[in-house]
Amino acid sequence: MKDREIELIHKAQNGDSFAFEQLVSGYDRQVLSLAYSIVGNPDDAQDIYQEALIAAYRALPKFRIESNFFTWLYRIAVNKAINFKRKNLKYQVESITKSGSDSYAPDHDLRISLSDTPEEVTVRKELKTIIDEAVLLLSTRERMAFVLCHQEGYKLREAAELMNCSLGSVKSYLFRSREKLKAHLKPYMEN
Amino acid sequence: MSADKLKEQVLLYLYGELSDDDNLLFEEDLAKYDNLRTIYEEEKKLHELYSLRSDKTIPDSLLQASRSELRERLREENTGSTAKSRLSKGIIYILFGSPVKTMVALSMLTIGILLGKYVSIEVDFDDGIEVHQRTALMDGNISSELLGSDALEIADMKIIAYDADSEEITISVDAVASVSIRGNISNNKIQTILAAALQSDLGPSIRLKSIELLKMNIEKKEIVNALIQALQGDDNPGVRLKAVEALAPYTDNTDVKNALLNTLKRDGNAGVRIQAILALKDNKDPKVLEVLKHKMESDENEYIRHQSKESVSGWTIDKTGREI
Repeated sequence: MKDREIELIHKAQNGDSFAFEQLVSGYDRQVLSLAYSIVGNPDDAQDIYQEALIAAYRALPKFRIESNFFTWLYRIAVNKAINFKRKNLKYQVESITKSGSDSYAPDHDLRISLSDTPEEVTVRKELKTIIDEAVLLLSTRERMAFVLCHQEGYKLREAAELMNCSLGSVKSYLFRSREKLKAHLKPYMEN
Repeated sequence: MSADKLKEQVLLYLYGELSDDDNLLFEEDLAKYDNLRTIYEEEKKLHELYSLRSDKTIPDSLLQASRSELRERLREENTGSTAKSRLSKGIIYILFGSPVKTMVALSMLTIGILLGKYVSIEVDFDDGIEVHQRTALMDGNISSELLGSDALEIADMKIIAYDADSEEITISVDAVASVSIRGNISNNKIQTILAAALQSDLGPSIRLKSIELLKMNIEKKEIVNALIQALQGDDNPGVRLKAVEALAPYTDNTDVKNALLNTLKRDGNAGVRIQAILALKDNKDPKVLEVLKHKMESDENEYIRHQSKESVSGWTIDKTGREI
């Protein structure tokens, strides 16, 4: 850990909230981004962000300096996001099977490139929305495993540590999430 | 091997979870067995489809709003802490227990001071007043001559701590004064100010200019750290891009390398990621190869996938003498 970070941690541990703000300023975008990925709306994402960072500030006196601060903070955020979703699921996701969405070629290259036609870009945008909705239909832990491993690029072992569960569990959550997404997207893939 | 087991192997391969040996075996099997290839093609297509969701860019306005709310909540945390009663006791002691010292403290506060933003004033009742900068890299005393500027504005005074036994008090204020400083670009204090501006100035053009000036003397650890922090935390992609450019010649430094790898993995801006690839492509660390291989397969941006592939190819030829 860098000297500057250690210094800020010591100050924040002694109640210097300004030092805490500086300390988390390099990481809080990732916390907010994770929260947004999990809940899918900015209001709830902000709530998770606040809960996670305030919890971290309160728990900071117990933080061991030899640990990695970001991992410690991110683990708090992951747990807040999991628990938040469990308590506060307050919106329903509409059916993803929309009428009129029957023009997706199964072997279409889904990546956006400069040569894409406006129609292709529109198709991808719509697909992205459908995937977003399908992800929100996963269980919280499946969604978390998917976001961490697929979206954020964490290794299974790292995701297990962040989610405070076994490697096998994360693997199950991730693979199950893929199967569920596949089932949701089947109508589009077939078309 | 059962279909489920084959599928598991395919997914572990796609997520980069296989060891190097298992990767090789898997690729050999992929070339040999049609059923494995069918599963692989299907899962790879789904993998790319799911990656459409990857771009969850957080609007800057949302982050700034969250930070403002956090600041408020942290203040509430501090005022609501158990230290509150002790603090109150201390303030009463200042006000009524020692009039002379109270007068000294209050008169110091009224002339109070400082340059720059966000400073902390520590009042030592025996020796008068000491002022310490609280901003990221600006530690040190400010002489008393600098106190009392007419242009100075003080706001948001907080009593951070008061110890009734030693009679030591720590007070913080937000203070702003306009000061011009002249010196050589390599001067430590000038660099410190530039680094602080890079980390806290609200104007992206100032932060960009700071990077340009800082990179002339980048050998200092503090400067490298400031650039890394900008790379990881600045809201403006142009600033992050400049930070990558400035750090590019120093990828042998582990902190720099890790920061650039992190940028390549997670930065939401494709231009910044491309710059990170260019910075890292000649670094022969296996960690770099691992990330490049992942990007080659899964980055949403076609140019990045292509650049990663080229870099991986070059890396492998250099390292082992054969192409992958």
